[in-house]
Amino acid sequence: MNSNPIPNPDQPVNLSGGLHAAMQLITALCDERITREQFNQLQSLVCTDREVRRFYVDMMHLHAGLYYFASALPSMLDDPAPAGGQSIESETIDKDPSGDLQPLGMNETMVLPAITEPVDFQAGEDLVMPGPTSDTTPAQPARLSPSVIRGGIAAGLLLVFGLIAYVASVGNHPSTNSPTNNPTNNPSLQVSVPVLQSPQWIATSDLDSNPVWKISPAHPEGFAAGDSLRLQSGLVQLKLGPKGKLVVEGPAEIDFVSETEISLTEGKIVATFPGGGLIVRCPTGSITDLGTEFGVSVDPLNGNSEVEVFQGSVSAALSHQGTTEPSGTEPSGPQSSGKPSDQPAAPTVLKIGQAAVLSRNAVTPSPQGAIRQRYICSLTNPGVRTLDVTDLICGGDGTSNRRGIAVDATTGDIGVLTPVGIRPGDHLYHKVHGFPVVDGAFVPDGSSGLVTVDSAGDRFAFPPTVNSVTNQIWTGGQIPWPDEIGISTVVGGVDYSTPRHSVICTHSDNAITLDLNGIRRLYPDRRLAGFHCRCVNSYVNGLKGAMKRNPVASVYVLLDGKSRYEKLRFSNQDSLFAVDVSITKNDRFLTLAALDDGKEIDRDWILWLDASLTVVPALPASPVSASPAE
Amino acid sequence: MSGRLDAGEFIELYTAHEVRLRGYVLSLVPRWSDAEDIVQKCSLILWKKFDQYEPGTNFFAWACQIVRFEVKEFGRQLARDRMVFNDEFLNAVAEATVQSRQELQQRIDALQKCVARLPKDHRELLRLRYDERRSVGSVATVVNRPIEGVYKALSRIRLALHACISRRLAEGDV
Repeated sequence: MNSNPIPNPDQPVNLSGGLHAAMQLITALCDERITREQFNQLQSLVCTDREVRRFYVDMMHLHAGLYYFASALPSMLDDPAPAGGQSIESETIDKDPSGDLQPLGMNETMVLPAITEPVDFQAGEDLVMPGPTSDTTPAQPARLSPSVIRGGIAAGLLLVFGLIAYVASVGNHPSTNSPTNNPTNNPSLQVSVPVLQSPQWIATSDLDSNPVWKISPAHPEGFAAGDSLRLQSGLVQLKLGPKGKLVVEGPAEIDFVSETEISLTEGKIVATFPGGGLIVRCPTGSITDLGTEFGVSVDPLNGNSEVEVFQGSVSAALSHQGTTEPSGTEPSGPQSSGKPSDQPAAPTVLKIGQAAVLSRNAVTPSPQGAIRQRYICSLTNPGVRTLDVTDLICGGDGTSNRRGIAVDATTGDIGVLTPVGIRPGDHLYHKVHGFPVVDGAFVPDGSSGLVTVDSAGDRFAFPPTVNSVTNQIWTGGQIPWPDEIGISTVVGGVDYSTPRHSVICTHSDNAITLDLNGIRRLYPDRRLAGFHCRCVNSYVNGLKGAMKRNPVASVYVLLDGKSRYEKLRFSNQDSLFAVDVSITKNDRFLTLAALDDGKEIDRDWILWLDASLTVVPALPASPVSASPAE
Repeated sequence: MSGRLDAGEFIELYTAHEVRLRGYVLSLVPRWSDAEDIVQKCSLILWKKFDQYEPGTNFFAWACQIVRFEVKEFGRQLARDRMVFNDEFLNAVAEATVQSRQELQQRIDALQKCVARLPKDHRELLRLRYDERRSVGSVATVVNRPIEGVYKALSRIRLALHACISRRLAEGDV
């Protein structure tokens, strides 16, 4: 049944002069050949001529629709061209005798096609794509319902939004070891002299090697109320009762107020105090331990304090709020707005993964959350043998399984970023701030000479690339992607986005540099011995919506700008390969780079899988004088 | 995100209007890659601001406001040598788009049917240009035709599709 009147096949459609001119300009726009003069002409026409404006809007929606439904076009290609008079056709598209497609003159009348309907359509029915037919066999339409198309899109969106929700929850998941909030169950604060005995006291080569400390007054049996610790540099680890621990990073000043209370006027500490009850007073407020591991740093310039929670929870209050029982459950309310509050508000409770700055007037949540690698949590780490590089890039200490952080090689931005498409590189090295282990990122391209690969200015002679980059450098977990095709993390039947594995995705041209000293300072009793991972291009040929085949790319591993590993011009048809690089004590910067084949970056899905650093015991620290300087 | 609407409702609304939103963005930003970036960004912004959307009101018009703001922001960030439509143009196109929003959806529905009626070689040109996202020059290489010929051919195919769509709408066949 065909309820549509068949149009006259020879009926020409004449465009008015204004629309004809507009069509030329719109075509140039759609095919990205428009000149500035044409661009201005089109802009003027659209602004001043209502008919042209409407025509422009229609044509651009047609243009978008063709992109949108383009993936359905290949399945139509087996359909032989409809017989004459049954298709949309313009005779002027036919080849001329020279074999060329005929040009269209500016004054030429568009002869529009004969349109007849070999297949009946009903209003609102599914999109019908003719299947393979012969001249004698009626077309058997293959149906692709818009609901199917929308379902695919919805699935993609659910993935994106699910990822957002997942990433948002990463920093807030409850700790499996979260102690109960029981401030009355306070272990006594026993600060003892073992701090002065190796290995509790360790100075490392990358910090000042000769810390100067002063205890006043000195008590052989430990600290007492009224004592103080002045540490000009280096690290000190104190015992707090039978299980508690306090790591102090100089320069620092600590006064011991009572068995359960210390005052930090300068420096960094990390307190591990099972059961809770420790109070840390700072110039702008106080932090009450609710059973946790947390870091506190005091900026000597403005007195502001920052608290970051690694386990459990703490209560943070401004000085005028005292240390009353907390009533809040989130870092919100007047304190977190960044605006001064006239009325004392309840202390703010910070949970695992959260961080906040205590200024004189406000408790302001830190958007990046707790960054464990800013602090040294322990001076002795005998059980640590490998570190998870993905976790380190995400601000963890290599053992905390953090995921979901991105680094933008074109800006140096780091965090939970919005995935983006192709951008050009700028031949600059972009320093990353706020994450001590991540030194920086850049778009590797040797077409302009040596490329700076770290903040020390080391340079490397990369080959020329197209100097473009897709998306950011992502750590996963799942890898958020700017288009619907996404990116596969499944290699050889193993999904590396699952919890036991890790992924660092550097779609070319992308490179990231890690500061190994930022890692070494976290484990002063350990030494970095090597970098290990497996690498692959996970792109799958024939993926729906992605026509690329066998993309070719290269990877480099550099130490201080010197190549330590290269795998050149491999494709997605190559197997997973191992990357093993030795690290010596003199190596400072580790660079991972993914480059295109010099022609294009499309589908260079470069994944660094299960990336890790091996650590071994460092040489014993030099014995430290047990005589405090008076 | 408010409790009034959930992610499922957002996705339903977004997907129902996605092609029109893409068309709107393309009409404001000349380059497809730029438009794609803006669409990606806007989809996330729309989701984040979904609690500001009043259920039952026009989602497309609401989304267009956010898109237009992002397009302006995008234009400000571009280098001076890039071609960017002025505010008068953006406002005029925005008004025309919202006014004709229902017909635009009908045109998109009709487009699918019209494309299906194209001859094979024309569909192949569209596939190369739109699905494989090749430049016109690259398409010309693949089909072994002069670039100007392919350029004109694509123009004629688009115009033919426009006429087909208009005819279907006039005949109520959508």
